[in-house]
Amino acid sequence: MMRMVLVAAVAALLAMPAGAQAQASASADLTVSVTVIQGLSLTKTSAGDLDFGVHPANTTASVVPASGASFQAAGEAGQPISVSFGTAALGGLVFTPAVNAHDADNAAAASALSSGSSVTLNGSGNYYFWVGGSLPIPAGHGPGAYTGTWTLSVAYSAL
Amino acid sequence: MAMRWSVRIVLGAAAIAAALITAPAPSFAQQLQVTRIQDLSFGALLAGSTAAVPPASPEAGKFTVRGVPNRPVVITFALPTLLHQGGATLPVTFGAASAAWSPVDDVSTATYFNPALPLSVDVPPGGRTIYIWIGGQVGTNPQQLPGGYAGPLVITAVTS
Repeated sequence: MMRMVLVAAVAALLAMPAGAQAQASASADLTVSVTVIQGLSLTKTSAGDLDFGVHPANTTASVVPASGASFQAAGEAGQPISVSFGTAALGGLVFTPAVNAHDADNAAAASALSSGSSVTLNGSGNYYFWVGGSLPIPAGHGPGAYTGTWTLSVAYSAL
Repeated sequence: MAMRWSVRIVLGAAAIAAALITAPAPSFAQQLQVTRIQDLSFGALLAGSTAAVPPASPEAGKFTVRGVPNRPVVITFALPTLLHQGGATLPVTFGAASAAWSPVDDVSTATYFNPALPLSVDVPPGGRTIYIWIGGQVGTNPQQLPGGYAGPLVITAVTS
């Protein structure tokens, strides 16, 4: 009797570590994600370009942004964009821009923006820009019509 | 007299066996833990472009596997091939060096490996923790529907 019980106990002891020797496994998961955003565009929305009119030499022509050319950026709502621009040459003259910007199409509420600034597209994916500037005309500068091209650029900041 | 002695032995052996069988000593299963630390995010991506996140990137996914010191652990992944946004999909791929592991929480010391293949490592005796980072690549087409795409990635650790 005693031998039988001892055999049973030993068998139980031998069987006990079976759980420890069996394979054990554990799992976890994570989420892989990406946000695809639509392209970014910039459109000149004013009917005309920036026209300083007629000025004599030795003066500085200027146009306030609200009266100048306007642009609209369109892209992914809520995305930050960087804005860049420089000066422009018109023959021997140098145009220095003054840019105002706002997330609503409201020139009166817009504030000055420097090149390299970052702004955030509004809930509809838009941002608005108004461009004026100054154009010094040196003394003795020859009369004539001067034109040039000025470029405003926008790019997604987070890409 | 002899009978009484036999009974004591029998009861003692049975008690020991019962105690061992029911002892709450932690099994390997109880000591094996896999924990998600961080999701894998490719961030924002312009339609028509691709993006890659290496394991050492702050955007890489991260797990820890905690097990029994010096015991081998085999780690496998169920990798997604597509990320979904409703009915729209985009492909996600994993390469030979898209994952990395280290016995310390420092990806700069990690060993790179292919997450499509099982990884067998021994649980370090010190911290008892294996750190795993995983990156990957995604691609989009120019007509890709904008929005957030996501999919699950599952890691499983097996020890014996």
